[in-house]
Amino acid sequence: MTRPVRNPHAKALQGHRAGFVSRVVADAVDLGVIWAIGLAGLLFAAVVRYLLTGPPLRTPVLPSWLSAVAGLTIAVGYLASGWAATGRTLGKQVAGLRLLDHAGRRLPLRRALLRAVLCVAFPAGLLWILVSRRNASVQDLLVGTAVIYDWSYHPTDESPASGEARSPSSQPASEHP
Amino acid sequence: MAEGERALVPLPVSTAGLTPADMVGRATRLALGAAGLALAVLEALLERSGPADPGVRAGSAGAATPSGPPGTLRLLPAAALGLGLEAQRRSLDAAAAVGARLPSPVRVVARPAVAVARAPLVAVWRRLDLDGWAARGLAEQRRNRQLAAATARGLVGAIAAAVLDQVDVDAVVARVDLDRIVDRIDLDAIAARIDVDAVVARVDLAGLTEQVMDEVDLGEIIRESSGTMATETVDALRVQGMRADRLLSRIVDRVLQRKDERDTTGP
Repeated sequence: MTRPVRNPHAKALQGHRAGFVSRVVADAVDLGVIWAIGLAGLLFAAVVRYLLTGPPLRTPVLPSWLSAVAGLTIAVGYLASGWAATGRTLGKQVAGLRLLDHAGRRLPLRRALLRAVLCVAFPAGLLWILVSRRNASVQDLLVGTAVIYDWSYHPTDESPASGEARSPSSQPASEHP
Repeated sequence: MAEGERALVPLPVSTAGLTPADMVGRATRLALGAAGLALAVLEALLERSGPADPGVRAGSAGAATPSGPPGTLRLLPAAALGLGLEAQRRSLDAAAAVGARLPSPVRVVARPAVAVARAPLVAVWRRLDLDGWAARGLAEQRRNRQLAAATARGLVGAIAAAVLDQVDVDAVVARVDLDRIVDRIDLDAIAARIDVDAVVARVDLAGLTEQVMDEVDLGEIIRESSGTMATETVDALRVQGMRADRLLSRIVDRVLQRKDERDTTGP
């Protein structure tokens, strides 16, 4: 089911670490997805309350601290589940990216949760990609991960590093600022 | 009539084992049958060209259908034929019988003499029964015709087979200039003679359209085309992102005055 990459430029870069723009695009899409999930949660709560207490139908107004906690929780859960399951969230799917550890495997759930918390708590860590020689963010350095270009499809029982479009070379991430 | 019916039994076509007497009889029959067939053809042509003598027509009808009454005009030749053939056969039989008891030179001399002497005696013995001789003659004539016709058919078949064996059909076909024949065919004229409206009227266009629509999975085509469009859009977005990554990295590296390229090799 893997769709062949026809663009020669894109084909040559498959398996290489992604740059700043692609990852920002992916994170922007993920932010929209998180916002949509939060909105869907509010609408669901409004419908439930309407069914229980009657009209009017309106979304609940949460305290700011609760909204923040709920938003961060949704973001962490969404990002960690995506990275642990397939190595990519919806935003990374759109941008053609995949998150792997240094061995080329998908992240275990704990490391995915840790990275998601770091990303949500310190999104500015993404800026380190601009100056990193290996296109690594602060979160990548702390957790030991890499975000690569990977347009191909990998079943859940297949290691993403065994993909044909990927570069066979595997080197540990070392930072050269 | 009993002898006439006996004579209607088909003769063996093969000539193997025939005596000279049998061969003479057979040749006589063939000649008479051929003459009868020629006469029948001549009569048919005369009938087709115009009214003929009623007596002759009745005679020919009697010859064609033995069950019908033969004409008087026909009766005499038929009776003469029957009488002649019977005389010939008996003469040959007598000659053979006498010849078998005589030494060979005498047999040669005696055979025609006996044949000539026996014929008038038989005729006297039969007392010139004209009707009987006529019926016998007609039967003999019919038998002769059958024999001649069978011989002619076999001869024609053998000739045709021999001719076909000699003809190289492939060579004949190779000599035919098909292009020239095709050039002489006016396809426009043929097409003009075709009633297209009638052909179209016979076609069940509604059923045909329905069958075609059943075969075409329109939903699958729409899904595939929309999926292709989405895929192309996403691919374009990804490629643009890749180029932007590279461009931005070079700008930053130039600002930072880096000389080496980034090592973006993945795990």
